[in-house]
Amino acid sequence: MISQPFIGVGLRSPHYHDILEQKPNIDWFEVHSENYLVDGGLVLAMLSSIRKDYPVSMHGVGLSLGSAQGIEDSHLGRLKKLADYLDPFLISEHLSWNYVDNTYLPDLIPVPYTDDAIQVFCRNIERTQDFLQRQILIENPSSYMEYVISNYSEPEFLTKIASKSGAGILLDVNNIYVSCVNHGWDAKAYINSIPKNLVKEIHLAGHSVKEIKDQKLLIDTHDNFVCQEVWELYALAIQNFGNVPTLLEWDSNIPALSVLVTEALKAKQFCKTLECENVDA
Amino acid sequence: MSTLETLQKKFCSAVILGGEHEELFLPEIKLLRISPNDLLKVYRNGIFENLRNALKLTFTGIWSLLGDECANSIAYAFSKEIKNLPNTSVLDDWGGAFPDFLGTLQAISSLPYLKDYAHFEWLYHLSSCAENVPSLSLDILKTIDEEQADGSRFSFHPSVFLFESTFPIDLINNVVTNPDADSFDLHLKPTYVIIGRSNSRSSVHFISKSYWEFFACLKNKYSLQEAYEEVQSVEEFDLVRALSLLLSNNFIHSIV
Repeated sequence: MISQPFIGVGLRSPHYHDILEQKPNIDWFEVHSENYLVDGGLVLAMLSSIRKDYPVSMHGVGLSLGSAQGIEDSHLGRLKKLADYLDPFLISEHLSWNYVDNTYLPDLIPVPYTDDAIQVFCRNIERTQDFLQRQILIENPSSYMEYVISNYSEPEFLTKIASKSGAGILLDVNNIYVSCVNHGWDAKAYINSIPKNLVKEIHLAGHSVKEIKDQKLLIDTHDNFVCQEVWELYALAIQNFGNVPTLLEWDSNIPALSVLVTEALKAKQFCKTLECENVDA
Repeated sequence: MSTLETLQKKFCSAVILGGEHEELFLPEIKLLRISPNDLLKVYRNGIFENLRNALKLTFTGIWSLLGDECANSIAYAFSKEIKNLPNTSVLDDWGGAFPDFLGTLQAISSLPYLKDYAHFEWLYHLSSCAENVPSLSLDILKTIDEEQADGSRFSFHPSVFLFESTFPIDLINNVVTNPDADSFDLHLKPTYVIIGRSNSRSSVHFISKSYWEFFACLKNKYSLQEAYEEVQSVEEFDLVRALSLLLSNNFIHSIV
């Protein structure tokens, strides 16, 4: 476990030049794997330059670990090539699916929480870990619908998969908040039910509120500051799981790099404050 | 087929095709405070928005020429056809069918150049993310005598693409990339282009027909002598300048 707070931000193309010029005071960057699965060119060159100064993690949205038809060989091969090139300290994917019948649907679509789906995830995760020769982390998604046939709660489902497959958990605290508000789940109970040893990374992000016929639905838009409720859940998460690497995501309406870094450093302050409180206690 | 696989197929049909396919999927969603129909719509909107954004990133000029509203509608119509959906989660690989789709739309048939401009943008995109391979060192050229040079064949850098159009792509491109440019006069003026990458960035060169034909011959593995014979009767053709364009821009990978 990392004893000091280790806080990163998502690497986004509008910030490439500022990062290289300003060398911001941030511990690491997360890259969306699919943005760099190209054979060459400017984006890889920029990433390569930034990698010289910072550790990076690879965070995928397209491996589709929940696909009943399995995962794409070619995608796995491209991920391995990028991982060999970048030497990331973490590789993560999502507890979702988006690929069926040779068609990719670009979103993080939830699966029903059933034994059938646990088997599918474990098979796909084990294959991925064998191929990459390393552990991967699985992130809980934000979700807007639940399936009638689900017979596990999301944290139970996630924990079972991680325990059986040997994957770690990337706990997205904003996603927990979004899903809990949308489905009427208890966010604190969710966090408290996850075994401490499984969580290897935490995500923070902003979300937005959509009104549908007088009902509010939270959408995981990553286009805003982290809300107070999510900061409070983050405090609980780091009390439970310690100073695991924490990342601030911001993917739409992307602000200046300085705004992003300042927001991310709030997480560092949170960790330090809690550390002091624990020492005082 | 497992329950999960059946459900995933049903979701895909419901989101893309709607109608009766949607009705078949909706009972899978737990009925809570928001209707299953509205919840499915959230996913549908997210998927189509992500597809639209991917197309917009690749075809920025098309969005600029058509305006957001019109271009977004066309992107939606394109993505509604299952055969056009991506078959890979790397969206940089996706969009090659969009230019031809533009050419089929009655609503924009008064803008016949859009299809060609979109083809041009697609090739620029392919060039931008083509494989990194070394370019030919000029030092190697110094070791080749005249007789060897005549029979030599060039292997182009993977980022190099040739494109021709009956429309003034150079003028259209000027309007797209330069906000202060005057609108272009749409007349049939053939355009010949070579696109390639030098030092990570792709560049576009509008060239004459004879240069284009010469480069096309070289790309098709004609020897230097054979390619030159195809264009030597053209008065404006300058062999040294043509080769210089290729070499100074690092468009040649190797020589055989």
